[in-house]
Amino acid sequence: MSADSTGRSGVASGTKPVLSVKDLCVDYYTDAGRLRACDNVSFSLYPGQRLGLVGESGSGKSTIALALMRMIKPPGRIAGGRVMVGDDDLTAMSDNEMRSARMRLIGMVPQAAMSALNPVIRIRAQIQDVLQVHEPNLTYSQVQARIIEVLEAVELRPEVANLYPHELSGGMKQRVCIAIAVALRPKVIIADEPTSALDVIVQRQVMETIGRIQREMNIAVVLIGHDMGLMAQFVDHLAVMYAGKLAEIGPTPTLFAKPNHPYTHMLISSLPTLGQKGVFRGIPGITPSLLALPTGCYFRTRCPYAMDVCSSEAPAQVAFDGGHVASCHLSSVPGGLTGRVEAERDAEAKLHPASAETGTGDAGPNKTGGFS
Amino acid sequence: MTALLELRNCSKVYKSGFFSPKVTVALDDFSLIIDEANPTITAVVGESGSGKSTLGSLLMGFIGPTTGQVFYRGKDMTRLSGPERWQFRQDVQAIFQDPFAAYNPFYKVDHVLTVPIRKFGLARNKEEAREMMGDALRKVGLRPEEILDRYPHQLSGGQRQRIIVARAMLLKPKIIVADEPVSMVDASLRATILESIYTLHKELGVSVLYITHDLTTAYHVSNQIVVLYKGSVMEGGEVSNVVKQPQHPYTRLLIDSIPWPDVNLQWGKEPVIKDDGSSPTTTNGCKFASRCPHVMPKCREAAPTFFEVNPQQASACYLSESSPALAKSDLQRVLNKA
Repeated sequence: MSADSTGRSGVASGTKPVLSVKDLCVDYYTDAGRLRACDNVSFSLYPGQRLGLVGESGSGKSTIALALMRMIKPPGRIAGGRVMVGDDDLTAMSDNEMRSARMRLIGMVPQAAMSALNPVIRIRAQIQDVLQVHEPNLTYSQVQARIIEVLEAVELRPEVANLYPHELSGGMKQRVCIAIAVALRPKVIIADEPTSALDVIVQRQVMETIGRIQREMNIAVVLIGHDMGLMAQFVDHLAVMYAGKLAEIGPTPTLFAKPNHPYTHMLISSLPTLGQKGVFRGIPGITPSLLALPTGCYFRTRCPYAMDVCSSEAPAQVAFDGGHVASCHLSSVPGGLTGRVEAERDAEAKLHPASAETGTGDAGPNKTGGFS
Repeated sequence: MTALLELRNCSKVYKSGFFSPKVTVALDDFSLIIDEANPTITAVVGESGSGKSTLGSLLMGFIGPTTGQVFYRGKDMTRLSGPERWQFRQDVQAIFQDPFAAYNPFYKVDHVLTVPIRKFGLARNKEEAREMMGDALRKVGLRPEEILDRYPHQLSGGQRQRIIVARAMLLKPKIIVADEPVSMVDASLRATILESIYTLHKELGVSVLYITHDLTTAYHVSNQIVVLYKGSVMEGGEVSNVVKQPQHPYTRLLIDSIPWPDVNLQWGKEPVIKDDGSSPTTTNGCKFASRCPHVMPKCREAAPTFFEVNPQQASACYLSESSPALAKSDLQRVLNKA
């Protein structure tokens, strides 16, 4: 894997995972019944590694983020499974132990930086807060030195400490949140859509900062989001969530080159590129309600390749080479997903030979929603 | 033929502070004509603070320009009579960024559709109104029976945004100002919303002003594009030309910063130069000078005029100096060729 501007790199094998999640289940109890927002999710992360967690709204990705921080509040509950950071089992900790572990072992960069910072307190006090609670032995001057150190680590001037959140731009606020998250040098950071409110250039700068700090401090990062473009450029492993379940997980280049779950394939092709102008391929339909999930495979209602077996049986996880795991019945069909996609492309080319050659995308309406 | 909506040399200046006001030029001497005869989709791109939302607000008449004029059917917007203003409100519709804030949570979603029908007297009775709402929803790819009689919180962001598109469509407008319509919905749902907007344009002949920071979606939906930075136009022209062969360093920076869904493409080859504040919005020189990797001494002295790189593309940068120079008012001519 080539190192790029954000410094993505592989990881040495044989080391112990810094974060391991095993069969994690999270339930929410609502008036309409119990729903499982996170269903038997397992993955592990090694030091310095970057894992992307993608899915549409309601797929359970933010629930996982909260569960890893043990911040699921009633009516939600961690119903089972285990979250280990190094040798510490977060799920077995008492509330007090967890309070001390939070930010120290596992930090979080929230989605909405504006609402994550207290609007009436200066930045200095907000960073100081974290340091004083977790490291009460620090002297005043040590705390001040650390504040300047973390601000400089996220490329902010030390004077920013004296400002209030409203005096900062969106990108700067997000940088302050990153500074707070790394102030105690945690082993893992969870970044929940850290750039969703920022524009492209600021997004790139913020991601570069997260990447650099992550590399320098050898922190493992879980990046949560729905933008496959950002994932392709930032993470080295990718987990695709659908309706609370892990649809597919594996190294990013493998997943992009040869996805083994139709949802992954559709997520990738739903993104506009500079190829065929005016051709959009959205994913038809919406995510099913977690209270009324379809039988068998949860994705079958939106899957263009659904077969009979999909409605009767939930697909098991199938492991491929290089830590690539997918849950799809197509894995047991000769040719798999790749075969189906190619067959579909050939059929389309036969129907509309002209458009396939010139690539003008005038293929007329199709079920994935192309238009021109 | 008079233009449907025209901005003529519009500037918008914001001042903050009482004694020594800090002056920010949100939009600097900007002109744009939206014609009724040949509807187009114009993309306005730029990062936060580029003045793109100010432009949208000016077109919708929410704010007035500090200098310059806005014309609606050849009449100064500040001098419209009551019925004309009413007509303007029907002709120019808006789609906003946040599909969550656009609804009153206490009302069912029907409310956003019934209000315009009632206010503009579009339907004679309840059945007809119901029929119209159903048609509008079906046009944007929603099933009315799944949508009507629901509360906003029961719908997804994508569904809510499409209802807003349906509402805009109900009034059969001439112009839709879409201010970041897809930045808050999932990437996989963006396609469907843009598709509805595109269908509106194609089938009803509506002109669309698509305000965004995302050049990829702008490339797909629009015919012509205007790249704004700190209130000034950096580059403009036919969208494929501008996006595929960007001439202005700012356009290149924007395109270079897009995370492409391709692991083999490198993200951000050129480093982003931080704004050191040496080119404020009130400068005489090029506003992009402080962040430009190709900055020359003359950039800081006088802002470059437009250079016609090709008949369908103009760039305001000295790097394109070898091309014929254009007057500022000629930008519209270049845009019209797209």
